[in-house]
Amino acid sequence: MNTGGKSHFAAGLSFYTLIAVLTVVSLAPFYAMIVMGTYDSFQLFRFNGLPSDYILHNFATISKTEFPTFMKNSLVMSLSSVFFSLLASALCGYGFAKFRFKGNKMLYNLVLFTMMVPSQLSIVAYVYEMKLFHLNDSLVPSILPYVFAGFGVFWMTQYIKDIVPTEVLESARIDSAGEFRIFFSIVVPMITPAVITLGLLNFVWSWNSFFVPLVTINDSRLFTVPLGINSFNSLYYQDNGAKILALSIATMPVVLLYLIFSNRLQSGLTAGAVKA
Amino acid sequence: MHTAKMKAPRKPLRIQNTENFGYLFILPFFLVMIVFSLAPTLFTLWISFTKWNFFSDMTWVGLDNYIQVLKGKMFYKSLLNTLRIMLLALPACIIAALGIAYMLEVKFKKFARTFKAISFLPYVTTPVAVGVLFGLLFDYQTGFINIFMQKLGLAKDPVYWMANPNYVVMIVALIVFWKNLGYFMLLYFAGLKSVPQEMYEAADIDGANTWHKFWYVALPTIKPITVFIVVTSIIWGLQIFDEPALLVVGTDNNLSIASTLGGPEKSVYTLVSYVYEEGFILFRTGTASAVAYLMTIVIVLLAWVGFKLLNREGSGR
Repeated sequence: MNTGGKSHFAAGLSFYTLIAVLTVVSLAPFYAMIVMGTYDSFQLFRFNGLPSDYILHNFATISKTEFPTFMKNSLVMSLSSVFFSLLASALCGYGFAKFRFKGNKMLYNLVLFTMMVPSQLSIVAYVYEMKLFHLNDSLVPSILPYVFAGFGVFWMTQYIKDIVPTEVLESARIDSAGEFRIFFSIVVPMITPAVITLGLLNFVWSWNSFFVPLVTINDSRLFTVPLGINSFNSLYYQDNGAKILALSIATMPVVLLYLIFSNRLQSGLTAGAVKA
Repeated sequence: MHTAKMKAPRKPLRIQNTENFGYLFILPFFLVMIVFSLAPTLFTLWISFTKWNFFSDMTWVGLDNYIQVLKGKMFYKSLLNTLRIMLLALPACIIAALGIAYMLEVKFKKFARTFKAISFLPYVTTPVAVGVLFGLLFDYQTGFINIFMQKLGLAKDPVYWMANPNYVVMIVALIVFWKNLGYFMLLYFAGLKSVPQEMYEAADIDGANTWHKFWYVALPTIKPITVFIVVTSIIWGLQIFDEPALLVVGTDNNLSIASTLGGPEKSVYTLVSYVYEEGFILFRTGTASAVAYLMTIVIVLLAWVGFKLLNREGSGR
């Protein structure tokens, strides 16, 4: 009994240590990033874990660059991705969940199948297609992949099936409400939680996206933050301090959203595994 | 009630019409998908049988691109590089996530929520920040890791991490591990919630210890989560590009993604790096398309093998 208690205590202690180490490892790079952003580049090697007073200089350096434009481009891209993907996937999910048209099941399975196909499969022709439509060097090619992402449709279909009662739709039809009015004034208010979650996920994915902007945007005025940060390398080649501050600022929107809505984001990201 | 009864004879016709409204609702999504995803996917297949640089006339070459790619070294090298990163990072990450999630769920529940939130932060962080950050941490002169190691006496001279092909692979694997640990844990937490409490209690009565309960109660129940993690890890792991590309470009001044692609001795040159270089640096679109299709075949095959292996093991127990 006594030894059991002791070994239990030892196991608990070692587990707490492990948790503490993992917490430090998870957070340390963030802390390092935020603090290093306050340093003069030439002082970076003297990094001692405490903030420096150089942050305003770095801030001035950043605001003189195109970084504000990069932030604006990223914001436009991410918000457009959110809006159009929500519209397309809510409409489509409602169609799959509440209408028994011919081919419903087959088309839904097709959507699920596209979730497994790597996005790079079509990239060569996609870039050419964008050139043909004169959409190259715009934010459109970076927005579209979120509009045709199967995950949104999957998420909306499941949610609408679970939440929206068919009887409500039936009685609205008896009151002869139009199908699109039913969708926008009855269904949309009922699925707001799912809309918010999916919107957050799309914002995070779009904000972090790198590959598609990399192959479709050449004009530096249209660079999103990930591409722009990369261009700091050649423009301000010595100023790592300013660059890290820019990174801290670029990470902020996503981290803030995460801190505020962590439960929603977590439930959205586990949906595929738990529900499928 | 009365209305429904009165309209009963006309109902079948009306329902028929209503059900077809579904097509209108799914139309916008399918329109975008067909034009911008399905069409380019098929066109890429066509391109893979041609010689073309986006501007020239297309020349039909049949299976030549595939043969050249499969005869060359780069496809196998990039495939092995990708697999090496995955094998270094993912099995350890999955096991660690499962172990920690289980311990938190059964023994240290009050910490679960906080730790879940903290450990998930790396997953949502912008890859470009992660790349630059790890590059700086492992920097030769100013990197925290070198300073730390020298102060503790672990190394006499600073280690030139980013110049050593093996170290770069390990750093990329470390990033992948660091990024996904919280996400995998989150999935396991969700799965462990579905284990009925009575099953643990029944095991307690039979005198099972924590380990037994884990092995015989929890693990079989959360099997679908493990299958999901393994299969999706295979699918996106084989597409890894951002982390290695952004790590090696991170602190190297005056360099671009194109010029640093793959890192020292191309040790982190992945399958997608190959597609990117052929298609968008060298403009050999035929080769790039062939590689993209071969990569997809590998992904489908390995995902299928992973799925089959895991399911067979389960039915055995």
